[in-house]
Amino acid sequence: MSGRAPRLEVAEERVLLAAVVSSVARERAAAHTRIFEVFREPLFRLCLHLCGNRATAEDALQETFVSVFRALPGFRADARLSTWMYRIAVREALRHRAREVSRRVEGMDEEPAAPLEGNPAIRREESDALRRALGQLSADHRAVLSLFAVDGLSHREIGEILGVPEGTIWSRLHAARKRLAASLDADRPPTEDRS
Amino acid sequence: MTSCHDFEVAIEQRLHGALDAEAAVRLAHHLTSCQACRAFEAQSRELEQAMRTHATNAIGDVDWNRLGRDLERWKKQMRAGAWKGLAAVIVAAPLLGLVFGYGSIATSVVAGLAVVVWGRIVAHRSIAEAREVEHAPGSLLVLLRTQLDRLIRTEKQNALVLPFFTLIPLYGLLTADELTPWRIAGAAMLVLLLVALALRSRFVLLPRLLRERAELA
Repeated sequence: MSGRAPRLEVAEERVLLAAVVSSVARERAAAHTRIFEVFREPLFRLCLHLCGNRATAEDALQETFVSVFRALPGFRADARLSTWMYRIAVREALRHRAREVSRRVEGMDEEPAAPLEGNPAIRREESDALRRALGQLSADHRAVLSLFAVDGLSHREIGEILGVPEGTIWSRLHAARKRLAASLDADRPPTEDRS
Repeated sequence: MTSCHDFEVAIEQRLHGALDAEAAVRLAHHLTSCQACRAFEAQSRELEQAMRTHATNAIGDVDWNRLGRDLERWKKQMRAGAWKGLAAVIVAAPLLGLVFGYGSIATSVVAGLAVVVWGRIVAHRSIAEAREVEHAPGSLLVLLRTQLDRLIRTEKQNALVLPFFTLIPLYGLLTADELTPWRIAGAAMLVLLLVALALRSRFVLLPRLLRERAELA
């Protein structure tokens, strides 16, 4: 599947972490480029689900990389690089979303969601409905659903990213899914009875 | 597993490859007789697929080159930041000296340096927060709220403390040997700047942060 979460081998991760503190500017730049290329798509997916629209997700993604590149020289590798980057992405995306909601209160319009594949008119409606339903969830629920929607992340990794026990992850995912389904049902127009 | 709730959690685990063989058999047996759980499983698959498709389609519209260029630009700006700070001191010191008298130029330089140090602290806050994300145990969302609370406290402090700093230019005027129009204009500008910053903290930044906090709660 195109959306598999990145798998940097431990050895390559060490090489990259050594390169970001290198005194040679070219080595640092090459390490940054590699990190950007490996993580940009899965982090964008996560930001998109958490933020609700592409423009905000792009801003959150950019802030994520800025934060990561700034703090990378001091990264002590207590966790895997990917776990740390996902944690920063969740933080940035939730903050950007909160900022956007706050701005919307001040009068900014919402950007429509990107349409799903298929019939554009129907799919855009579905896509908008999904975005609206996700928007009604709490930050906890949005985070867990979004991380599960990034392919290839195990529940153990998601537990590490969110900093909660594995058991809590399943119950939170289940509660989030129920809430999302309920929001989608409530959003759906009532069907006409033709009997 | 005895209730539909337990089986629904097991469905989640199966969807993500985390269900052991024994539980999978029990779930399969339950699904043959429970239409509600079958519907839940179908709906869960559908929702996950919809979320993935939504993201995959949006990725096609992202201009990665632009994002890459923006990051490069940011790196250059970071490098230029220190030089800009130095330039600000070089420009600000004589101006402040003009307002308060050149005798107090040392004080002006100290003030300029304080501005630079403050700027460095602000620049390093994001590094400190990113490191906190690496090392802080426990829930990421709790940490996020804590970081937001810290920002709220800072803005509250700014709103309270900055007006008191207006006393400094006023003191400069009161103790000046001669009140020239330049001095009065400079002091007025400093007072206005400090008041504007305090008002911005109190009426723009603080409400925005409080709304962000409410959204995350």
